[in-house]
Amino acid sequence: MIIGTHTVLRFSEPEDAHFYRELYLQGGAKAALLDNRREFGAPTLQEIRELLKKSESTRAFLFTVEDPEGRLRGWCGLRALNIEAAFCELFVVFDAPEEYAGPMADETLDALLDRAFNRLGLQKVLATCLDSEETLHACLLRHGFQSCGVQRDVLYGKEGWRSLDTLALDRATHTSNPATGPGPGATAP
Amino acid sequence: MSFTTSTYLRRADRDDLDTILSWMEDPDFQRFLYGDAAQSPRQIRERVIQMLGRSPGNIMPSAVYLLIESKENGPLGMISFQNISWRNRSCSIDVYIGDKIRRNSMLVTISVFRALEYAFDELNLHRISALIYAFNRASWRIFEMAGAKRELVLPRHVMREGELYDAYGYGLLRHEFNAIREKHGAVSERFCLESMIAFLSQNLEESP
Repeated sequence: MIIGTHTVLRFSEPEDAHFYRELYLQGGAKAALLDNRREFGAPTLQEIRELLKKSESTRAFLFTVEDPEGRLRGWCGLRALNIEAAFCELFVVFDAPEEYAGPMADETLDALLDRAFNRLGLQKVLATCLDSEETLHACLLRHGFQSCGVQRDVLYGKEGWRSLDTLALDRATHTSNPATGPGPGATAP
Repeated sequence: MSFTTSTYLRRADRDDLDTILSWMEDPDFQRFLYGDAAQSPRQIRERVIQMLGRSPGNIMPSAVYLLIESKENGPLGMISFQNISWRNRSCSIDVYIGDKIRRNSMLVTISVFRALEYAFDELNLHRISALIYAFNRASWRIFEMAGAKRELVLPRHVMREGELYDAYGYGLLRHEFNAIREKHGAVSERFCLESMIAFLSQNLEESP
C-alpha cells in the first residue's frame, strides 16, 4: 500500500468491481473509461472482474484509491505501456468531480507519476480527458501536463458531440517542476 | 467502387491471404504502420486470417479491409478501417501500398479519396482518424489534401532504428470532406470527358 496523508493506494482487486461499476454508471462519460473505439460502455460486474484478472492488474498497474477511513474513492493506473518509446497512459477516475481539485487527487497523481518515471523509468506519460471533465483537466495541468491537441467529435452522447484532449508530461518537465514531485507524506511500507 | 477503367477497391477475402501476408512481412509495412520484426510467420498468418475472417451479415463489423486492385497488375495495396464505432460513427484508417514505385503516385491519393467517400457516403461515418508518424510525410500530406486536420502532435512517440520520432493524429469530419469534395469537384468540372473531346475536335479542325 502507498499511504499518503489523504489517500491510500493499493492494487485493484476483483472485489472492487462493484465500486468500479458505479464509476461507469454515475456522472456521465469519462475519458478514462472509454474503450479503444472511444465508446463509453456499461460493463457487467463479470466483465470488470475479468478485466481486473487480466494482465494489467497482475502486473500491478491498476490501483484503487481509498480515503484514510477505508472508503473506496477512485480507480487509477498506468496502461498502454510502450517499452520501446518509454511511455504509458495514466488514468484516474474519482467518484466525485470535486476530488480532482483536492489533495486526494494530488497524492494519487504524485504516486502514479513516481511509479512511471522513477520505478518504470519511463520518459513520457500521456493522459486524456473529455471537454466535459474540466476538473480533471485542471488537475492534469497543475501537475505539469501539457496539451498535445484536441480530437474533435470523438464521442456522441445525449449532450451531443464530445472532444477529447490528449495531454503529455515528460520526465524533464516532471523533475524540474517542484509541484509535480512526490507528494508529502507518501510512503510505501 | 471503380475509379478508373481498370482499378478499383473491393473487400479483401480469403484468396488474398498470401498477398497480404507478403505485405505484412515487408519491413516498410512495419516501419510505417505497425507490427514487429520479431513476429513469427505463423503469428503474422494468424493475424491476417483474423483480419479476413467473415462476420455474419447481421453483425456490424468493427473493421473493413479494402483492397486496391488493378486488372493488369492485381492487388496493389490495402486500405483498412479499424475500430469502427457505430455509436460514434467513427473509425481509424490505415493505408498500405505494396508496390514501392506507386507509393507517391496519384493512385494512392485517388484510392484514399474513394475509400473516404465509401466511409462517409456508404458507411455513414462522421469522423475518420489516422495516427501517422512524422517521417511518413507522403501519407499525412494525402490526408491533409483530403481535408483532414492535424489535431494531435505526440512528441517522441515511436521508436524506429533507435531514434524516437513524433506522431501526428489527424481527424477528418464529414463536413470537412464534403467541403474538399465540392472544391475539387468544381476544379475538375472543366476536365470532364465532353470538354476533352470538344478540345480534341477543335484541335483536329484547326490543324492543317
